[in-house]
Amino acid sequence: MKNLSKIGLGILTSVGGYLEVGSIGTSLQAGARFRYELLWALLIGTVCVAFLTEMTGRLAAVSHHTVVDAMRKRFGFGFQVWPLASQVIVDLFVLASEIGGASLALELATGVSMRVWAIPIATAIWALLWLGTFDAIEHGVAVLGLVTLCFVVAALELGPEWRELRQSLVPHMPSADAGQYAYLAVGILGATISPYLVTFYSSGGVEEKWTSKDLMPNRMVAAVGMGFGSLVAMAVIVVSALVLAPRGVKAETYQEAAFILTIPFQRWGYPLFWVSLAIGCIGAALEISLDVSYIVSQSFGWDWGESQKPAEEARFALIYTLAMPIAAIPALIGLDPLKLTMFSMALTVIALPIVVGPLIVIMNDEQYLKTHTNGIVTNVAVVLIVALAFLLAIVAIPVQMIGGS
Amino acid sequence: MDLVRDVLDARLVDRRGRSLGRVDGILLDVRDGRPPRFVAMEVGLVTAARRIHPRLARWVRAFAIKVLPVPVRPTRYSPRLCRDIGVDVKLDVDAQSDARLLRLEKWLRRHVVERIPGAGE
Repeated sequence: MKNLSKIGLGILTSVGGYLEVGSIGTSLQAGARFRYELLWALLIGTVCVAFLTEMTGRLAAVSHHTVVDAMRKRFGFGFQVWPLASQVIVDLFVLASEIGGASLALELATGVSMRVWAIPIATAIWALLWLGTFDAIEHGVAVLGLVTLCFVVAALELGPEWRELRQSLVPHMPSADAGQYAYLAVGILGATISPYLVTFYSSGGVEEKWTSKDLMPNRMVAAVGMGFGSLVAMAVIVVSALVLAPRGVKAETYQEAAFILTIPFQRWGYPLFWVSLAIGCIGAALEISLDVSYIVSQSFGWDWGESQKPAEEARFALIYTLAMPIAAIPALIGLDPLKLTMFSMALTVIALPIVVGPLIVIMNDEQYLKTHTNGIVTNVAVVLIVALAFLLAIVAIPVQMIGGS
Repeated sequence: MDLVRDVLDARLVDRRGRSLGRVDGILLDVRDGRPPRFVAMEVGLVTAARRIHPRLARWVRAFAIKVLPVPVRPTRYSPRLCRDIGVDVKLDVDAQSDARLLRLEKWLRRHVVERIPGAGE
């Protein structure tokens, strides 16, 4: 019974917390420009992220240590400084995109410029972190995030062509404009297999004091939660394909796409869009700010944990406090959040191999995982994911130059 | 025990389970005709930076002297303080009561964090 409620809560958290600025941005553009054609990228990304979260959750449950802990111990500071530096930079860019997305959502709601909202949004996120606990933040935001299920309802309401949709789940060449197709495929994979999820998920497991008894719920949540979560992002592609594509809207900005839900929901559509965008972005911003503090604190062996009061972990709390004003700058100067998001997704992809690569060694380390080291299936999966990560990192910049303009 | 495999980069924890940092460096006494002696485990940003490049260590040190409110010298722990070496290295010290330990953490807590409402304690 206890396991069932844990699984339920975990799945709810995955679904409610799935949509954020990266997945909304890339899915809107993919649907608007290529209809369902890029659904396969989301499917591959989801399978990868389900494996990664299962593995990092297992590490936390068995060893009570995180990926960063194990990476520093096994690879030494000389190596670890690189994933640390690249991930802090990527996290700051993605955090800036989330703050931008949330600020823009409030601009859509009020008509007042997003630049005015950047500081209130960043302050509100900081206050939630300063005063809240891990459980309250994680589960509270996820429950609010269930509003994003409106995209699933909209997709069903609009009635997609199921046959075309099924065919799009298999990787294939595009009907036209290969450069932009590749650019969006990389963007979707970057938004789905985010390096911050790898470090955040294992830290969350340690925060929630998982033990070996949590291995089964962890496995279920990774598979089912991520699966259902990705359905929400798939629904954004489908709705975008059915609403934006026929009208020739390319979704180059969020403003252009803001009417997307008014077709299925009429006057409720507009508020549902900005509420979904705001909640998705704020939820992810909370996680990413925490992630910056997690990775820095764990790398240097400081006390860390959102469940403690800031006074008990001064350095941990000050890291996210410092990150917030830095990440608020792009929104404050009015940088387009969707363009920043797409750029951040390319950066994410470049940082991916250096963060997931060490998992091949860590997940086979008996000192950490005892009898729960990777089996054949998970080892094959992690090697394939790392290979995919390297491939994506190599093509990210050329693809950005060809398809990003 | 293998110093590099088991001790270097391990997290140090005190008697109460409080983190003291990571072993950024190992101090050995190299003696003529005899095996080197394990003298201390060193924790400090400059020590860690030296492992990347000596020049980086100099920059970090110069920056830290300008910016940080506490002395920049690394903390050294004698191997005699070790109670257990596993995934973490457990030491027989108490960070809370020992004024020489976690100086920056304690300074930031007292002078910055506790002055912001809602910090607790």
